[in-house]
Amino acid sequence: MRTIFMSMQGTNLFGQPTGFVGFDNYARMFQSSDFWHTISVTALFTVGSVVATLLVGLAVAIPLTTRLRGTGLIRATVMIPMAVSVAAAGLAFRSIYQPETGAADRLLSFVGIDGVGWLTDPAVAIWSVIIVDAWVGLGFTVLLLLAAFDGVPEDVLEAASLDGAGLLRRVRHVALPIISPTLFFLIVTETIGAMREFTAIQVLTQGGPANATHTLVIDIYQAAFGSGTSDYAAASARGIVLLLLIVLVTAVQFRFLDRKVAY
Amino acid sequence: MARSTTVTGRIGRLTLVGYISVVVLLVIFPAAVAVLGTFSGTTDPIASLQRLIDGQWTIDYVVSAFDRAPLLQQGLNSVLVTLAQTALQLVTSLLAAYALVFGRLRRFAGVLLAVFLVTMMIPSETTIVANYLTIRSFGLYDTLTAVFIPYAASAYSIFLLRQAFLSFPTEIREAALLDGTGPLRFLMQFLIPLCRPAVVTVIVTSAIAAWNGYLWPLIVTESPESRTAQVGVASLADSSVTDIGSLLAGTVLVSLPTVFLVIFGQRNLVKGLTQGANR
Repeated sequence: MRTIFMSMQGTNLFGQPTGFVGFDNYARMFQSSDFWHTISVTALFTVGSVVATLLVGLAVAIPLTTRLRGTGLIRATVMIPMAVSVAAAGLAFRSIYQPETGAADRLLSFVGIDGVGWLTDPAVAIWSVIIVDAWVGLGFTVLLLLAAFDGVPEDVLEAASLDGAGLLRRVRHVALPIISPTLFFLIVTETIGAMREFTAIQVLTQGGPANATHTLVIDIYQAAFGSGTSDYAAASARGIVLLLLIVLVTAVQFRFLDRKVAY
Repeated sequence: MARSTTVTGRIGRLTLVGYISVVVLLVIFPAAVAVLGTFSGTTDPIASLQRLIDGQWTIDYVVSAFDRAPLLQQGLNSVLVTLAQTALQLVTSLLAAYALVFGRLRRFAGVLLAVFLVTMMIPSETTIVANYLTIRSFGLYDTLTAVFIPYAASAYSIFLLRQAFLSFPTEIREAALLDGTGPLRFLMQFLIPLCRPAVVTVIVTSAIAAWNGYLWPLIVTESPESRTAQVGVASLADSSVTDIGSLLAGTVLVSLPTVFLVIFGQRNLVKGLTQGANR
């Protein structure tokens, strides 16, 4: 409630409300090209992060469904990213992304790729941040996927295998449809999580380079608490936009994806 | 699955084992690099291993991490915040979920649940400015109370416990009531022990969230002495001379408590989380 009220206030230089201005803050926001840049960065980050987390999650979870010795231990190991905070992971990756001496550049130099500007090249930075976000989300994703795969009835898989279906076809045509409720749950929660992501970006790039990772939440933070500004009204207006975007995207997902889910 | 002993079966098995090894290595790679770097001062894995083999590893970086930020004080702050936030959240969500499921609320229960679920949808980033101004006007800015008080109740925890309570057998509840067990004793002696996975999940997830919080503690605290460990460690990266070794040492130290929590709570966590997800 206070957020809606704040978003319609004018502010002076010190961020003190100066009176009711209606939708002026929104009008100014929608007219600025920076704002639409922010929205497109947020969209790219969200899609990239959700797709990366799910694909890597599946790539990790599927082989672990087979009953080999030691999968229990491996399952526990894979869950570790879940415990590590985004801040800590961001810092570790920041060191890994160090130019030349960092692990990322050192390993790539063996295959002849030199000096990737992980956090300095505007075209690359957003992917560097997505990698961190996907890594942190991996533990939770794999945990839910494994639990879902465990719930797939053994005899259904056996029947498919008797019909001559290989591992990949069994996964694609039998297991994935059965676990589609879990996939849907993961897509919805991870989309919301990615749209709200702050820490990874703040720790790694602070929205830079050249605003390449300047998402909506970074925008809120910088408008309200950034150096030299305390435009609480503009920040609140952006907060409302974030809420509406999340509600909208979630509603669209329920409308179009829910029908493909086999309950 | 692979139960044939033919040659192709064995080759398939070997590729599978190889693939799993590669995947696991990739997943733990960042963590392993951070741990190695804590003792070697570099994230270059080859140089790192070389230094370890040569016996050149050192705990200097761990020591200097403590020197460069008041990590001990900040760790203590984090412990206090985590304990307070987890305890508050557990009490409020246990009572709320109890009222939703067993309270005589009738139609009202549905309305209440809807309200809880709607608040779950509102991202904290939306209300962050309003909450910040509220904290300031209460004079709580730069205190530990400011860090945990907005998280005293959690819609997510309430929902998780409600789902567990719903599947609680009614016969046990009726038998307990016939024996004259009061609601509080029923909660403590029957409900909590029998819904253990959900309760443990609420404890572990809210403790992890409290310990790992970043944006909110960053905003409502200012002096290094009242910051939490996460914000404190991140400030190690801000200084102009970036000392990778102590940065990584701080990162590893701040991650240890939650890693232990997840490993020990794993069994209950798997049950509790999947109960909530596969409605």
